[in-house]
Amino acid sequence: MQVFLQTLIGGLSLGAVYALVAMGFSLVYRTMGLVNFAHADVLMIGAYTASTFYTSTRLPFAVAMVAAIAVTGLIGLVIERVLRPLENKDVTLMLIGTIGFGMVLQAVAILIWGATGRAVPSPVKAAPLQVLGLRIRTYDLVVVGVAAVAVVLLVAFLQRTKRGAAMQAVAMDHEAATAVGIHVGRSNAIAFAIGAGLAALAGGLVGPMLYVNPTMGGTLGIKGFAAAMLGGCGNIPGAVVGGLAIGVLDSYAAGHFQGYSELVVFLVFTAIIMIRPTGLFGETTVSRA
Amino acid sequence: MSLPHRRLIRPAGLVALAVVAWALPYGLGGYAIHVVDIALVFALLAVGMGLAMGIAGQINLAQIAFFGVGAYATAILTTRNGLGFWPAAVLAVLATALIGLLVAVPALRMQSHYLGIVTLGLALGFINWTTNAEPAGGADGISAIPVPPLFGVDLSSEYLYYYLEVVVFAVALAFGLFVVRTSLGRRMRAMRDDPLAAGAVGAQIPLLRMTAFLLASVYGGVAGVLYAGLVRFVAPDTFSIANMFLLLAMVVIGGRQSLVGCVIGAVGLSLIREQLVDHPTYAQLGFGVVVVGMVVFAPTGLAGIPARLRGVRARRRGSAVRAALRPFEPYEPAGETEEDDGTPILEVREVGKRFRGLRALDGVSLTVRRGEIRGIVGPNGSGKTTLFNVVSGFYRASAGQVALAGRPVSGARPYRLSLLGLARTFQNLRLFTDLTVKDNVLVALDRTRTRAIWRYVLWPVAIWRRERRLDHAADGLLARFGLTEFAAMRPSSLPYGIQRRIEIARAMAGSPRLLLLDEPAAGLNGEEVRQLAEIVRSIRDSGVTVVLIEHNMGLVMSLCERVTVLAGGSVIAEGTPAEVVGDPKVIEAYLGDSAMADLPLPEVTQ
Amino acid sequence: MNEPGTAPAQATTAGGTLAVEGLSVHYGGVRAVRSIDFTVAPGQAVGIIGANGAGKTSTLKALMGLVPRSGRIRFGDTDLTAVRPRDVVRHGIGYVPEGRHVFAGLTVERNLLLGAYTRPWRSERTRRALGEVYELFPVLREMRGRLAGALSGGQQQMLAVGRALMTEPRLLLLDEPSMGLSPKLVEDILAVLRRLGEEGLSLLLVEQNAKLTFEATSDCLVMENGEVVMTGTSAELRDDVRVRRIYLGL
Repeated sequence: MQVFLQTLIGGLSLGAVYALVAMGFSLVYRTMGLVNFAHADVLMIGAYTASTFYTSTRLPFAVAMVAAIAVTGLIGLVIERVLRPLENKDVTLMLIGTIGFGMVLQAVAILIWGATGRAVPSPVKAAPLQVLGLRIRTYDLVVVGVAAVAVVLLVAFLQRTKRGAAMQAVAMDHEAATAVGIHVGRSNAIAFAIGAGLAALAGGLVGPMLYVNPTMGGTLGIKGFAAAMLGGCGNIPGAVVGGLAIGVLDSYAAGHFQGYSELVVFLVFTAIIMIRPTGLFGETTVSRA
Repeated sequence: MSLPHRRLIRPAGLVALAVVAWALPYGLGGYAIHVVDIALVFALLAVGMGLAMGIAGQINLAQIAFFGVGAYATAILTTRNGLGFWPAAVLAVLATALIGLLVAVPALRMQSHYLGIVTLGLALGFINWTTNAEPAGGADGISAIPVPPLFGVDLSSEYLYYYLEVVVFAVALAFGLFVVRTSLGRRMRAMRDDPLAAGAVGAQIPLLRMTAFLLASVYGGVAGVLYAGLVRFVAPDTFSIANMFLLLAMVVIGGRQSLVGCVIGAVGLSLIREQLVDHPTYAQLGFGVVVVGMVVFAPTGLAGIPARLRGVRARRRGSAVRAALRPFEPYEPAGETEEDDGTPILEVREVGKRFRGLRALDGVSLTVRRGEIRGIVGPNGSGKTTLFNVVSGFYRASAGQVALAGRPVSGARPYRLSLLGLARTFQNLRLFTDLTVKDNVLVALDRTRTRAIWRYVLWPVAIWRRERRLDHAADGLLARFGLTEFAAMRPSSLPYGIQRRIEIARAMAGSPRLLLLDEPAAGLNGEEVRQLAEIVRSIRDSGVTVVLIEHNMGLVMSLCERVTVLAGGSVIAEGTPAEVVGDPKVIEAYLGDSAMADLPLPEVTQ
Repeated sequence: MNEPGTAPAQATTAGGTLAVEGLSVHYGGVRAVRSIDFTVAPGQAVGIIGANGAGKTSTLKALMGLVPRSGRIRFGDTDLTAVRPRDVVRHGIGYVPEGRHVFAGLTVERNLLLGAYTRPWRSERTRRALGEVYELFPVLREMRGRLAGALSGGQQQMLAVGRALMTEPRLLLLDEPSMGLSPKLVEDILAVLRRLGEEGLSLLLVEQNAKLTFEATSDCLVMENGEVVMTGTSAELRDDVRVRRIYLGL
């Protein structure tokens, strides 16, 4: 029981990171119907930028994080602008285009930071908490807390603000959105920028937990995608649940299958998604055709 | 260009290519030939990827893993199990095919992005296995794979290995092109453009998707075997996600819908990568930029550029081609040839269909006699199209039974119903947009089961012969529907009325016994509606029963012998047009007391 | 900046004639509309009838700037060809697209509010506009919390019209509002159009249903193959032998 709970707690903080990745990915999917394969590499850039600001300029961790979010937000805007001619036309081509961007970002990261990775010191020095015999790292609490705030802010933005409603309207029908005066391109750009910012947040938070290197995006990104799909693509609460689920699954797989944990995670994920292709919270829209 | 001239170019080009391929090693140094050998391996991989992604529309990001399975299986079987190279190679290709079929299983349930992520995840899982598993040698990989023996030819020479590769590659490419241009490839392209419509004209979608992955994995497996024999060392690095994306770049830059384009992309990028071998990061940067540029500016890849240029030139000259729709040539009326034993052609009993809370159909019963033209009318949302979707197998009914010519078919898949003699059209046109008009018809003319594809491997001649016959039949059908002059065009470039007629022609290509038309007159002008009525009558006279959903009451009145009225998911009236129009329940639910109803009432009641 | 809240043209009040000269629409190599001319005077209701593919929808989309076009389009003092698609609405032109195109995943009220995207949502003016739409279509008030995608076809059509009215247009463009609706619902749509006309709104109605168009408008154009082949008052055209034969099937 003790081991079970300890593994669960270990999985939750990484799960919160997956949830952030999944949210950014879901937001772009929801507004543009596009799976952004460059998302993982944006995360990597975010992790590098945050760690660079944090370790070399001695900025406080939170400030470094904000800087990283700004940088990746800008990258998001560039990606959206370049791929804009394909918007609402060919999703497969856009998907391939984002893979191209991923290749570019990885190459850029190697040129700037080199091919070897770096370790980031934890910004929270406090000793782990002991609760009911369980060991909880304080940094993990920070990660979960930050992620929770990000979720609340994002949901509030989509549900309560005019810009958020407009963003969803663009996703549903871009011509009708144009006809009521919404700037479709700008709306998509903002979605992309927020998505990229969420990736940077995830990357910055995960830096002190893992090793930061140019290919770190690969696995994290795909697990983030998996989390989003598990929750039902485009569904924000689903992304959160999916992220935590993948994190916990990850943690157990690492405990039981050691080196093969990734293989196990992807096999389990494939099996679940086969049984429920729309994910746990996915809506199968009623077709009145 | 005159035809005989063109007929000569092909063989001449092939001979020239063969001469170049034969002479190439004489002009290359030891390292250069190695580079060419590697490029050929990638070309083979790219062809497999093109078949799955470009032709069949299955986003397959596990191609690099298929490559890896082929290479690792060869390595393990030769070094650990002591098998000879060729027996190991055969087993390795079989193993890859098996893995290919397993990876295809998710494709049965999901498509597009989802499939991309799942296949990429499985590829990552494979890499995870190779780096950890003891039989795979972990990060060090497996070395000392034996040189493949070949009748005393020393294949450790990369020059001689080149010839082996060229032969394998030529056969593989030729087979790929043969597949693309014949029945199987046509069905896969149709599935890529519109899986629902492809199912409705008899293409067995699940099996086709499996086939696409099977093809991709066999090409990947063969490439893996060749790689293992060439390099005689395998390690996880070769099968990384970065290389998967490189492969994707090859296919996209070359042109994913053209196998030759895939080859050009693979060979080209392999050579460029070799030039930049000291600057791998810049190479990656460059490839990424080119991929992005390509999808934005030349989405059809290098292979698509000639066609795009032709299109631009044609537009500059002003569309010179002015094809005209010819009149429909009526079918020969059939006598009472078919066994008319009184069983109705379509019997729907107490069918219900629910979507979550919504009750779209509720206890609908309906019997259509052979040779009838039946109209189905009703307000929007009354369940007409849902009924068609249940009858044609798109939806599974929540309750009740459907029988086609006395045979229970509840729950049968669309392709099975198509083969049993059911054809349909769609309310908002579902033509295969990237196929020519003739190919659209050919897909439906093809009545073979997908499992007959064993012939591709064992008896291709039979496929050729059948292609000839189908081609002839397609020409006849297009002529009957007056569409001959549009045969080589894409439907999306044609006016709406013509597209509607193509869809009916495609439905009739399957020689159905029962034809379902969903709002065939929507969007047609008066003259076109008159032509439609003529076509439908002729189709009926040829022995086909027709059921049509229609809002144009004028057409329903003049065409249908009996009319069924649906409202709120239930049948509220049935009878002759005159009876139905006079029914107070119908007037209440459908017509209202409206002067708006498009009803030439006096003429009908006379 | 043409962001919400800084709409330029709302100040100019009544009137404004829509004057279209030599309007053409090209898609790739196809000319969908070939140099057509027409005007819609303030308060006038004009109909365009014709078969599918005649260029009716392209004409409306060209007015909204949603397709590549050439020619002159003036609305009042504004040259609409110089206005970006998303700003057309800010000059007092509301658009009901063919096939309704409501925002299916948002609630009815959100759909309507998005019609007022160019104005602040919390203003008295927006609240009043919302009230007026609910008064015109009481069923929308009942359904205000439902997702638009869950409405029936007729209710979606009302929502699409309501959303366009929320833009506070002086000219309303309607593309096939009767499409796929039962005759009874078509009757309801006609009543709404008449009422809007009485309130002084200019209407440009594109329809295949010629009967509805003749009832709802004072003047009509008949389009065929991208050209205007006939114009006249609706009453004249209704009795024209050729129109009757082709479009009414009589």
